[in-house]
Amino acid sequence: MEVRVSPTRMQLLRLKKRLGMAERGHKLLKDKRDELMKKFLDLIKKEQALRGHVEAGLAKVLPAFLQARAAMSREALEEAFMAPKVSCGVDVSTATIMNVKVPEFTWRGEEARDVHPYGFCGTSASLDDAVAGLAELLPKLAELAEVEKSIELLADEIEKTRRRVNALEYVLIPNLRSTARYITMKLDEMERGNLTRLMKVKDIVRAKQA
Amino acid sequence: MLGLESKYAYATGRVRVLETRLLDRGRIDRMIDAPDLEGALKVLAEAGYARAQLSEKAHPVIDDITAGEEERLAALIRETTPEPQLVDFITARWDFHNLKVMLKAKLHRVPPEKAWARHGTCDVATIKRAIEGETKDLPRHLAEALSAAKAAHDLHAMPETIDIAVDREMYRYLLARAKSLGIQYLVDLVQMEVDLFNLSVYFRSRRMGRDRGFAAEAMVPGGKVSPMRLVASYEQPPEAVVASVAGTGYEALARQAAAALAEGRPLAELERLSEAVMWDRIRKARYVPLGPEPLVGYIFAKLHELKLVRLILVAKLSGMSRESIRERLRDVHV
Repeated sequence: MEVRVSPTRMQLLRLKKRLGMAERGHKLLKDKRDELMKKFLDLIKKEQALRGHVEAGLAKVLPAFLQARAAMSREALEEAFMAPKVSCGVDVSTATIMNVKVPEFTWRGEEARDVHPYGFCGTSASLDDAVAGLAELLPKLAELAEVEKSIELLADEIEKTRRRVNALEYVLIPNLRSTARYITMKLDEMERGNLTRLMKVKDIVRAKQA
Repeated sequence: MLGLESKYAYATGRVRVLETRLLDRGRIDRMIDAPDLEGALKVLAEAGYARAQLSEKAHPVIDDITAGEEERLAALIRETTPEPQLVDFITARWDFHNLKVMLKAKLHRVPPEKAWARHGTCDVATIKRAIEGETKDLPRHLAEALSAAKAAHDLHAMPETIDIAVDREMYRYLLARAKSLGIQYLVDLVQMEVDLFNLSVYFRSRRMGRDRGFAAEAMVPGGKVSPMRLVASYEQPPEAVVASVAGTGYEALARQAAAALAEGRPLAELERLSEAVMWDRIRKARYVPLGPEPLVGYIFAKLHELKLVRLILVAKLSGMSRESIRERLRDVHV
């Protein structure tokens, strides 16, 4: 769709300025999109490796936990986990990737070697395996959450940037170009009209003098 | 005055009938082959278990079924035996459990409600008051366990020290109770339980990477295999423990568990083997014509059956394959 403007030289100058800026913006946004894609693909690779590791770990831990649950009563299981033995947590901060704020989870946990907060009577050996496995997996789970959230935020940003690039490339820049062409043609037309009129006036004046 | 055999004549008669209602291999197979949890519950209902209504949360239903059966078993003992103290072998475990719960709640400032068991004989208020310092209403064995657990926790303020101290007192109490009843078969069963517990501590501590001192502390005296004999081989290769239990009947179990430990396989196998060893001893009571053995054997057989029932129902609930359930129950006779 053309931009509706009065075909004046002032407008043409303004349009040319806008066109130049749109082209510069388009180039910058394209560069940003390409860089975001690069970072996105790097994160995807990291996520795939992490998820593979975490899922393989969970595939061992969950059946062990299920076996423990089958061997223990609800009360015994609740009692076993009443008081935690080690404390752990996640420090949350933010980092910036191409102006996108992504979370950074820093794992705070004690050594995962001594994590069983219960005695041996009424508890199952499967529970030991499940708890040790989960303790080992927890830092990886935090890392996976960080990477997956970053991927989600980057994907949103890539989508936004892609829309902007497309809007500039396929809508705004062609419209500005076509409007500029229209004004140029209109101005040329006016120029030719003026010239013809002047020549006609000159002819009339010459005829009267003769 | 009646002899020990004659005192248990009525109980033996009742138990002989009830033994026929224990889940047999056929029923266990039908439960395993049932398409879902509901099917397995139907088989249980046919065997005289309470008919359960499945709700959205099936885990509490399973817990209710096993708890209900334990209550029925306790009621049977009270009705039939001249020694109601035999009930202790079911309820005392819950009393000690509740003591651990309340002590952990107090020392680690956590709510006790979810872990509290309603099957014990000592009420929550009494235990709570005892933990606050007023121990006069608390039964002596629980008071001793409480002071041992407090002392252990003062030395090493970790939650498992409470469990370890209370478990030690519980086995001490059960052994003393078995001896005071004068039933050698019961003493043997409790001693076997202690031995299997100590073997479990040995292998699980090693898998956890705990040191020898911790394992020695967690083991319980009173069994046929001394904890000192077991911990002597603690820092040697796992198979060294087989020599420590030579001549006790636990060699095969120790050999297989040591292989599992050395190869990094799950130690759940140890529990399966322990149950099998225990079951072999329990079933011997069936060949005693008269006396306390049939009743004691029935109590332990029923508790063993409840473990199997829980295992199958939870496996059914979580969609575990029939082959996996059968593998878990391999060698665990019924």
